[in-house]
Amino acid sequence: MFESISNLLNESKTKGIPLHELIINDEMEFQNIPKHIIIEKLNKSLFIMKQSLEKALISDIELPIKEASHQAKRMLSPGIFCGNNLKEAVGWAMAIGEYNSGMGLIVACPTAGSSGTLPAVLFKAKEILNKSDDDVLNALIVAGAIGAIIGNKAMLSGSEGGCQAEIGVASAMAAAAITYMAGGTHLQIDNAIALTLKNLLGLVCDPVAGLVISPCIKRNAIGVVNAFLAAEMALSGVESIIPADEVVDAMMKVGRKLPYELKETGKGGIAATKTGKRIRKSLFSDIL
Amino acid sequence: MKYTSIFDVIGHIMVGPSSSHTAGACQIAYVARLLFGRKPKTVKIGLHGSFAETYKGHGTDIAILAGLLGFTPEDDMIKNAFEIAEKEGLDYSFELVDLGVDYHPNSVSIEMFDGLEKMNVIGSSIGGGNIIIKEVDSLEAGFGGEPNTLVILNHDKIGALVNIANTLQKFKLNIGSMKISRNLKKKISLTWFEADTAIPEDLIVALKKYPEIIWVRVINV
Repeated sequence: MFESISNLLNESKTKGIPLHELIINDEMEFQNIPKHIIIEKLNKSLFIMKQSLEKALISDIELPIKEASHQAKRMLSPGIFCGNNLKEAVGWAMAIGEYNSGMGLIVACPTAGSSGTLPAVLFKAKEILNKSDDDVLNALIVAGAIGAIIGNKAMLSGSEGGCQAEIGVASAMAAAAITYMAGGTHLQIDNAIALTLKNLLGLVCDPVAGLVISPCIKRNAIGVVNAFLAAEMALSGVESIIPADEVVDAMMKVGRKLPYELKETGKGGIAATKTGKRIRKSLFSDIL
Repeated sequence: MKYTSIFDVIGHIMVGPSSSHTAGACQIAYVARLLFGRKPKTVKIGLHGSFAETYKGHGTDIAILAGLLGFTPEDDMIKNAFEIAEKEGLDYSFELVDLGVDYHPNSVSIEMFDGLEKMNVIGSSIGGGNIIIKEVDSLEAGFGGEPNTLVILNHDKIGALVNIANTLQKFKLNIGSMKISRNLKKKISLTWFEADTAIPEDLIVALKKYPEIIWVRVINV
């Protein structure tokens, strides 16, 4: 895997090899897998992502926290402020989030709790840009490499770094993927990642009753909006003063400093509110 | 480097909601059944730490039962585990246990019985769906769900390891890592190998011929 985001982007730029090809070459060399197997695995991930969305939209999922059920479909109506595309993408991400919470089959990207963001952004961008399945596959490859690099430089779990390391990273992966899909330059991709992560820097992991439901499902919604916003800004030429790699370093340090209560323990943030505690009590009072 | 492949980040297909409390839990149970090597008739599941605290909302209990029925974390049938156990006549029970501070908060103790033999496995879900088997019948273990893991229980006798090593060489199996844990009282050892390539069926047959070997299992997840 590439050591840093700038490392990956610079190598692609100087060698004149498209990002997705460079990443596949790296995967072939260091994982020792032939190209057709890599493509097969990518297609499998894409298939499961599509399937999770399709099934989520036709399922009637009752979640352990009843109040959190059936929210995604409410976003599948015409937009008031957001525009139909953005609103629908948010609805898709929440639908996959609900499906995951209801024990549906998903692709963790990077985690199960943040599994709605990347597919929703990828599929909506494909529709908006009128791109092919291959373009989506190439964008997914870029998302995977960015996620892995951030994971190595920082972390990819709420228990280690808070939600910035889950939804934050999912959003950055998605932003990089669609900036690439839209034909953005290397600098624009770097900017899109930096802008995304900066917006969610310090986001805490505070699941009510310790469950992957609230706020997780709806955090996928901000993951989507943030990715589209950052990609839009980057593609319009807005630049991040701080390069992506340095934002990742900052994210790592912030994640380490976050107290235990705000790292997936269900003991701080909204989990520690009056309502959060009431829900926890109502769920686990009759345990075994 | 922790994440060496793009598939570490976009390739983990699993039943939700939690990679540690659902997928990892299922994986531990699936490996436990592989180690038992047959279909259990009765299982006693002890939930420890965070597994005990939040199992209900994460489907940890369903996932463990599913693993014991032979389903992997990416099997969509996981959510029907209770009904399938009912149908297959698997007798199961859950209890909350305290294994002590030495165990990861996401740990489970699984006792399997088929009417004749018993096995107890303790495993921990350490994040992102990754697991470690900590104990097999009170013998310390330490292998995960990595593909191509060979696990052997043998009588602790001089030459036992030489016979195993010779057999591995005969089948040209390249070993990445190897560990032994012993129970000096019972005079048995648990030996596990992580190989670079798939473990052939003939190798297992060859190993079973040695009288000092009690059982051989392959974990291929």
